[in-house]
Amino acid sequence: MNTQPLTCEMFDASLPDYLDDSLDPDSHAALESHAAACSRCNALLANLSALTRDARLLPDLAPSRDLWPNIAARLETPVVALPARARTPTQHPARSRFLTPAWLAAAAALLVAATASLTVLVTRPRTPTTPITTTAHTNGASGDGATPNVTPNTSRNTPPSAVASAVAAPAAPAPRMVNTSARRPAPVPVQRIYDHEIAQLDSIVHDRRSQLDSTTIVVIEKNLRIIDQAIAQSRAALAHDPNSSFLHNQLNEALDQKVALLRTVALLPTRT
Amino acid sequence: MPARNCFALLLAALLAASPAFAAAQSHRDDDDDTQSRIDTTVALSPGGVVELSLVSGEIKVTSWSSDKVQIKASTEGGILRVDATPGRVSLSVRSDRGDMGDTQYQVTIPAGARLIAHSVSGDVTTSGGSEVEAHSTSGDVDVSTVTGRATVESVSGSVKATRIGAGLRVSSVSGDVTADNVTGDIDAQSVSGDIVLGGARSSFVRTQTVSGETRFGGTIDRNGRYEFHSHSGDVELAISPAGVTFSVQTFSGDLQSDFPMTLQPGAEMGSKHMEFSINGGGARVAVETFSGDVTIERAGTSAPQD
Repeated sequence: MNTQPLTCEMFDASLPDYLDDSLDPDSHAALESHAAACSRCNALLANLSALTRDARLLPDLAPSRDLWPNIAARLETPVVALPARARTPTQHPARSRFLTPAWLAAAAALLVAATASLTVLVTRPRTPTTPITTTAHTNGASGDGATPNVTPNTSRNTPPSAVASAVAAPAAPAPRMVNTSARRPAPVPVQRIYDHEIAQLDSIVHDRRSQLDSTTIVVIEKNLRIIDQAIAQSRAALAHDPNSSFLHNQLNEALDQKVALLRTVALLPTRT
Repeated sequence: MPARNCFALLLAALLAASPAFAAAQSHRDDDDDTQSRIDTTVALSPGGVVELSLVSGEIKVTSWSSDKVQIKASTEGGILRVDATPGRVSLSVRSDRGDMGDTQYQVTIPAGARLIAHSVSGDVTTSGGSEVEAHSTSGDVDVSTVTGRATVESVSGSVKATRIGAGLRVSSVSGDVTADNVTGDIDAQSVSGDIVLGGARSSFVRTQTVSGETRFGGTIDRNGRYEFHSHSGDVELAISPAGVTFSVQTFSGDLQSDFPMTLQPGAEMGSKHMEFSINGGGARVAVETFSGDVTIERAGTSAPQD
């Protein structure tokens, strides 16, 4: 017989067996003796005893219908029935112990505490930190040389404090974070959008040539050449000064006008 | 003869006669609405729409105080068609077995009517109407005296709008664009045609051309915004000395101004960017060209010329 007085930790460890009424008589008496002398363990024992008592009064719950067969039927992986256990849960002392309402309540409380702790850890501000910036280079240099670089940089949206901390941060390994922006489709260069639009309209206009008056076609082609010349001049200027927003605007306006003219031609009434 | 037999004979006679009756009725409709010459007058409810369309020839529209639409039309080889409802009168022409010569419309509309006129190669001239849309592919379009908004467009023809009461959208590809005495917003565009705006009374003006010249003259609203965009065409502005803030930017064009200009520190390399104000600033006047010259004159020094 262990005559050593129980500590609170020992009380906590023996409590499940006590509630399951599976302690030997000496241990049972020792636990009750400790509870009588310790207010903390006495309160805990009272609460869990009441909870256990109330839980036993609850009716057995059964689902109105079994959903699993339908779910299993929709799963791609065939469901293989597990071999029957040798013993039923009620015959398994350890399992039955942890399935009691008291343990379930304790497990729920532990789960809540663990979740709360994890939340605090995750959401706690970390200092210093390294902001993640994404620089998407759309390669203008690899093109005809006239297409400017378009460099959207999300660091523009980064608060100044974050930028400052990024500058001051040592070369510590950055936290492992998934850069979700990398999953987004890369921004399409505006020139490519224009090229696509113009190519489609060109095709329509080409198909419509036979429906239009020859004089009108001459006028249109002449003015398309004027616009193409403006586009070429703007691109040439941009090749020398690729960061000029003014030249970008000039180029886009010329492209806009080409699109507008092609649209106009596409919608022209036939000559008869 | 029994009554039942009489009824059967009558029914048979009616059935036998019905196709002939329908054909006769259809022929009469054709005679009424589709022919090579029309001279008729039809009623139109207030605010109603008059829609005219032809391929070649000419559309001429005037207005009067009557609530009726007077139509005089003729075509060489085509077939005219009039459709009239209380709220809409439309006049069109279609080819007769693929042939169609010139078509002439002379239409008088109520002053408060809406007018829509389409032409492929024919000229369009209108006077009056509460709101006017006039389009042509190669014909010239001249729209005047509209109490409301006007939209005037051509591809190779010239377009002209005069005395427009509440806003103008005007465009041509190679033809010149001219607008006089326009009240309300102005949006004028061309590719190679010149744009000439005179006597404008607008708080918002926007012009855009590639190689055409732009000339603007009119009153400046202190709260207004005026934008002139050109690639290689010159831009000339005749500005009354009101409160104006100018922003002029060009890549290789020259700048000339009757008003003192100062170069801003933020000017970009390779392009000239001037921002300056007169009389304390106010209205925003922005000019952008790639290679076109920009001239800003005091109004009255050199009036815009048509």
